Amino acid sequence: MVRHVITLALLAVVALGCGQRKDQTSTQKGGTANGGTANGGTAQGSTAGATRGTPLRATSNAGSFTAEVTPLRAAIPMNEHFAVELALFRADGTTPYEPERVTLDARMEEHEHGMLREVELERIGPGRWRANGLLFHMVGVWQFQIDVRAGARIERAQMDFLLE
Amino acid sequence: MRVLTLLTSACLIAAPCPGAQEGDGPTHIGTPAGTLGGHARPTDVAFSEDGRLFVVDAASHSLSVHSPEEDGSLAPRARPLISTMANEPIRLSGIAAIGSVGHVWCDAEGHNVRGDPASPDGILATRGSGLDGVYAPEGVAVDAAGQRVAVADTGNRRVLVIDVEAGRSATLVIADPRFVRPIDVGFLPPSAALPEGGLAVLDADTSRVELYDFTGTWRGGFGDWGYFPGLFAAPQGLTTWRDEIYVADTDNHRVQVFAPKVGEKLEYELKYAWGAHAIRPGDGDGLMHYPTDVAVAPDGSFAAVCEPLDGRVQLFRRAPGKEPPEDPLRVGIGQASAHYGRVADIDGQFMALAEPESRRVKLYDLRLADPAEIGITGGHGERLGMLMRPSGLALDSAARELLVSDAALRRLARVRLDIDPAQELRYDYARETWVEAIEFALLGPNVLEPDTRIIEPLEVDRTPDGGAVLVDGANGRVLSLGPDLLPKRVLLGPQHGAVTPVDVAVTPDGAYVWVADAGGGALFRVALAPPTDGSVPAVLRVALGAASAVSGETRPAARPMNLTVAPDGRVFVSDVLTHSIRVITTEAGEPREALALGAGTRGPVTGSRDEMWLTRRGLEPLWFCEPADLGFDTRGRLLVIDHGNHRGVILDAEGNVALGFGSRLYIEALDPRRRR
Repeated sequence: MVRHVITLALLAVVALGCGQRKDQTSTQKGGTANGGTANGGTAQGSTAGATRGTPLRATSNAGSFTAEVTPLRAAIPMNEHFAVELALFRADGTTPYEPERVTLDARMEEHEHGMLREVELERIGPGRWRANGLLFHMVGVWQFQIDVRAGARIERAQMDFLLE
Repeated sequence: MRVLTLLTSACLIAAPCPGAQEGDGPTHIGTPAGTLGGHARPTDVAFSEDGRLFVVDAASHSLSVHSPEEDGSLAPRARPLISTMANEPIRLSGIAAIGSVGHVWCDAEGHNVRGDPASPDGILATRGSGLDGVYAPEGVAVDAAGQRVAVADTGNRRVLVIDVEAGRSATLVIADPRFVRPIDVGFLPPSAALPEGGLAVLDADTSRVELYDFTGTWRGGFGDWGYFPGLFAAPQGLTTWRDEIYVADTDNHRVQVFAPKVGEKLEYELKYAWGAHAIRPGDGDGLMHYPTDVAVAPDGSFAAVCEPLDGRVQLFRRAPGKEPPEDPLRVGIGQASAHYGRVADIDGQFMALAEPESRRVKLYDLRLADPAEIGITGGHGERLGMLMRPSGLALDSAARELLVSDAALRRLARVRLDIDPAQELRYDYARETWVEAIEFALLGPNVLEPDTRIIEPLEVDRTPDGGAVLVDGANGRVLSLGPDLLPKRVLLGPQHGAVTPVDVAVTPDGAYVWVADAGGGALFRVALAPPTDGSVPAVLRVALGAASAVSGETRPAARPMNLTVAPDGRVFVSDVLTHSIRVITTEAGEPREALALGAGTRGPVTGSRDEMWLTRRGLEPLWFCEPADLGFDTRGRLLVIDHGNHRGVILDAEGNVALGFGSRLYIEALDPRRRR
């Protein structure tokens, strides 16, 4: 399905010209990310020389888990590969959660395209993964989407990030 | 036998055409050469070696044949071959011709494959999932020797190869996990890359052609979803001629031709394509409209393409040049237009509508006279939030939720909506939040009942307890889902006489669910609450159109595809056979058909069943073409997705057409003020 994703993303970029929709009003969508929903090009709260950005945290859309995404560099760059750390917690927000399957992706919903990349998850501890291979190729609002499978159910957590 | 009498145009194969390999230069097929009329809804075509053209008509459940005339052209008038057998609830779905011997056809609704050269009862395969079983087969092909029959066993997501002389058991079963909706199949001749020959399988949902040898080994494939050359959009028909593969690229309104690259590796490349979307309703002369199958004459001199929505088979002859000349008007335009699909739901002030060509769901606010688009979600893909074949919508405006089923992904998703009737009217790209989904494939087969396939979710509706009712297309049943969207009970199935349930609508009081059974031509009313005394739940069957049936006719006189329940309890049903909205009243608890809206009138449906599909469609007020989903808004207006006419129609409480929306060329007939 990589083929599908790449083809469609290319189609979206080429055919739609990445034109922004009218009447956009908000970068907020869905989950309740903390830290002002990290609506800054550099993760808010970061300091010079820091090696990690500010975590983005959101309760899943059906409320059964919490996801936390932490950029592994101070600022998410444009058009360069970067990695993030993903941590999942049960609904209590503190107990690490390891579902049967988890995926992480990022999309620009406003522009109807994704990253043109497949993200690989590498488990680094209980309920923690390193996500490699992300790339934001343009400025604007990107949405991290974390899909978790438990039994026959898939549930999403999402958080917006404005790349300036 | 009933004979279609509405012959509209003659076949005009102008002159004997050169075969592909004759002449000095390359040639291609694509020059319009006439139209075969007289077919109501032709869905599948095949040539026999002696040049006869077999046509499947899905409206009349008939099979007919055009024979070659002395000058080499095809007889314009089709000779009916099979129609009386259609007293059973069948839906002929595929046809293949075997030399001069006969033909093999498949019946997607009766779940069987039969034909002349088979066993004495004519049966090659019947309902099941074993070596001699099929479920909803959609395509069939016969090898050049007439020895082997290949079947696209669509419902079982596999392909069978049956040796006609060896009996009914398949000698080869290809159940490739790549298959989502294998819909047609063709034999490939021996070549350097395939010394024994092989099979080409078309998948309508993945928009790909997969290639196999006769050990069942996958040897390659091509295609993907999209508009650009070499890509497909919901392709439905495939045929092979020599080593070329022809694909009826349905939603791209064209036929694409592929040829193998030279060498020992099995690789195909696009050779050329022909066809472009019709601009005006009924445009022909080479313009196409949802072609569903293509067949190439034995000598390769011309091809036949069937277009069910326009009730015709167009013929295209060969011409010099390696490909058809490019139409300057179409360069750079891309896909002609996006069309309203068959799936929608209306609740309160809002409407959700699936757009199959883009794999998206659009959201509309109905506060103004015209629906105003306020959001969109989806897009082609497999991840949560993306769609491959949106097959059902259930909108709950009060709960601000939308359920979206996807038959290809076998998924039912819950979407949260940021909607408010009092909110300022505006478009918002972030209006939809995909919350969660049930993956029915992960539940496996045999859910609630033994010997059942993995659930294929079709139409869905909400129940007062926060759960839902869902049509399971893979098993012909209706399920009750809990608030967690997991299956809890079987409400209706084959054991109740249901043939092909396709849509559900819960009554306003939440007591019953109405079910449209397309194959049975009937509705079912099922009590939602389980009996407290352990008895069998009450199921009431209401046949549609019985009073108007021709004497002696036992075939269904309607094909109900969608339905809704009005606030006053009346049931409004979209009937694609008669292009009408049939209205069922339930006064005194006895459901009966009160009237039908369509063909310009409000009255009972009359006329010959075989002619209904052809004669009762139109563009003018109160005329429809394959009406689809429908529902009532807050103001009591009835909204109908007039699918075949690429428009929506809004009717007032009296059944008068108040407004049309959608493609301008299709709505100006409703309202002359919109003409430019």
